[in-house]
Amino acid sequence: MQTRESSSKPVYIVDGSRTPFLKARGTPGPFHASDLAVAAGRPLLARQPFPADALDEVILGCIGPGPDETNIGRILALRLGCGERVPAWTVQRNCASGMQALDSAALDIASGRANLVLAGGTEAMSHHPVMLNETMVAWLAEWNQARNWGARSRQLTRLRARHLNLVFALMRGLTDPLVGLSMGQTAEKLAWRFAISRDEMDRFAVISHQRLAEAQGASRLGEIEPLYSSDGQLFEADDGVRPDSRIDKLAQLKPVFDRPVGQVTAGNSAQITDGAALLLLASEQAVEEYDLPLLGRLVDTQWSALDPSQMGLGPVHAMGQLMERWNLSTEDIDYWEINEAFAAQVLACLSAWQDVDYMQSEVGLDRAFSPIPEERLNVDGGAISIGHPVGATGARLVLHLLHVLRQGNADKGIASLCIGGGQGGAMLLELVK
Amino acid sequence: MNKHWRMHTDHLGIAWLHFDHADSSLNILSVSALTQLEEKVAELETERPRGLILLSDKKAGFIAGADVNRFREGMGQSGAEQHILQVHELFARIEQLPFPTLALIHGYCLGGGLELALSCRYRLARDDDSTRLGFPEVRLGIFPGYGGTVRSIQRIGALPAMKLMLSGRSIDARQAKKLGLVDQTAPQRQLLATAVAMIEHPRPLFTPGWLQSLADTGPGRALIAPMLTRKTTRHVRADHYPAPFALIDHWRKHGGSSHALYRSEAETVSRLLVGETAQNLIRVFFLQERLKALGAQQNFTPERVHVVGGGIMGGDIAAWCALKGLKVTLQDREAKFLTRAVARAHQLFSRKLKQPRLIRDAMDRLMPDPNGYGVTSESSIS
Repeated sequence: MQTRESSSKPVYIVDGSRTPFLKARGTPGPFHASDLAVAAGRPLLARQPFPADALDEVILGCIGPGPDETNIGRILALRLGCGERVPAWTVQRNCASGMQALDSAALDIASGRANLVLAGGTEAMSHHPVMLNETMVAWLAEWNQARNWGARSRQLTRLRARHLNLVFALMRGLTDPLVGLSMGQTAEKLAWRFAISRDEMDRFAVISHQRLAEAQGASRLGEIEPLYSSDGQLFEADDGVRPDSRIDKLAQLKPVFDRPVGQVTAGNSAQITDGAALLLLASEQAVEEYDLPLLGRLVDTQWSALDPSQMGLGPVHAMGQLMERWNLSTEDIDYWEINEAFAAQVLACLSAWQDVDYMQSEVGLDRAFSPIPEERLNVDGGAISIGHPVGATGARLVLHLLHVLRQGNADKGIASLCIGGGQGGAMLLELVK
Repeated sequence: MNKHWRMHTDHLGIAWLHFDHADSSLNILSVSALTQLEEKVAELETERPRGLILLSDKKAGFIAGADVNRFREGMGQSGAEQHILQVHELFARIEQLPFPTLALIHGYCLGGGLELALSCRYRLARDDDSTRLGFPEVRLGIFPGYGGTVRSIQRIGALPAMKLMLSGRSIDARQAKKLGLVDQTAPQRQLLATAVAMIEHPRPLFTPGWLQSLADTGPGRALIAPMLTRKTTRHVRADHYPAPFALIDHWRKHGGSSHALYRSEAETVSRLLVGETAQNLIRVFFLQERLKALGAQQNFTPERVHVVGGGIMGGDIAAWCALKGLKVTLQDREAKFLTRAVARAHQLFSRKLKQPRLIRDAMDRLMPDPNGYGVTSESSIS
């Protein structure tokens, strides 16, 4: 299968930045999705040896851009000062939108269509809209038609309480419209299927927080650029971290999805968060032309799909098929990033990964893999502690994995995530030495 | 042969009078331009087109003002007064043309240029950043003398007009529309169509509200004039800068009567013009023009600036540069030393730019840069 690569050009990742991830605290946060992307992209471009208009394109993943952010990729390009002549577009593959942007950029470089691409993702989940429902919209349309007081008063008498029910885009977006389950309920399904206990989930969550806290203390998150709000606030670090997180405290939280007996809680799920991550991808030609440093090589990407009600197993499918194509075993991969949408979901993936039955019947491989060691997975925490700004996470995983490979003087890594709607994405990355 | 003005009548019967001052990149109301304008006005009086649109062919703007150069040629007080009275008569003839007249304004419309525009029945301004209207006369030690004090008060009311003339500041198209100084604004793409529509469907003139009319009564002036004087005293001294005080006096004594105002304008402005202050300020004006010309030769047009130090000084320099359209990186030792500068910049942009879109663009141009990424190739201020 390696022939697939031979005709295409290598794709390098030369640099990347992200904002701190800011936990949504009920009210809209200080930054819109495009503000976050600008804050990540501005310092990234400022430290490059080429001007912003040397980019061939900008690709941005985002699930819920604001009403003033249609084609948010183009908005980012213009706000970053790339000039009028740099084209830009926006991609949406739910939780993998940021990774999709990287893949789209990589394909354009591999095919020779582009040499320098800025790509990544952004999401301001605290700004996802609250909308009027359709009966109310219809009522308002009729109200606007009512020309006199008689017609208006008749229209007023037709107003019912149900007209005032609001639509929360965030909650609806986190519910699968085809199988009717919320994302948390799909995680409950995996916990049941793979017999994952509440205690295991909470233990996983505690480790996530501890690892992030340790990484912050050791300044291992150099890819973060601070956010400055226009009222003078400064945000320098992911603020959802709880270094004091303990299993006994997490055990007291109530389940939020399958009430009252479920196991998935706010404590062992990814946090609703605002943030952005951007990477700079380059061809060999651009690397030589501008003498760019190399962060790593994006070797290959795999997208796979499965039953939407078990979307959390997406990484098993995508990583499995990627490993099969490159004829790799678990031991060949030095570090792993699997997005922590839910503790139950990552633990289910780790189980299925070694389960020959699952691999044969559902992934279509004839083998299972040896276990992924805990000390090589999400070594500096994951979405449970860092947060999961859905459009941005894919780019964050890849960016941080490259830093981990570098710090560990390692060779290969895989970044993967599950995707609402029943998909999985995985990227194989390699350090260039 | 008319060197400065060109007129043609279109298929609708509207006369288009183009001002394109010979041997100058700007339109100014030089004596020859005024003389030749008079020829065109005479033609208009006999030809009686359906309407008149007065416009400039210069890219930089409508009319930058009177010919300041002539003010230092020692025309003498009586010569100056004679000149002003002649312009009064010419502008009155334009005002009395028996068909709709319109000044189509883009770019600079200052001093005498604005006074000419005010003698048209309507004013239409191009809605973009380059359009500036104002009376800079006080900066030269005089005040508007081509009927500007009379017509600006008639159009927009005594208080706004006095404030505009006393400050010497220029305003943009939107502010001018809000004040009533122009009747309409339009973007470039609809400018000519709007001008034609305004001539084809003439609307009643904009008049100031009753409150403004009250300000221009005897008691109103008696109340407001001392207030304006007090405010002006805070900025300048009467013995050094007599012009603003003379303007207030002029209005207080003669406001309410156009005839008396015109006469007083001619007398007072010609007296100020030959005075020492005006002559000195005019000299300074030309020195500044020379400096500007030298600056233009220098060809130093930075696009990016790196500022070191996020304190009040550094932060405000950075904010000002970003406000003026430069891309700025602002460095200090740590991110926390830059937050106050960002907040102050946002306040400045909000005050100056008002529109959220423009504020955002300015904020995007100002990058807090604790790592000094911007230092590589910039011209640095520290």
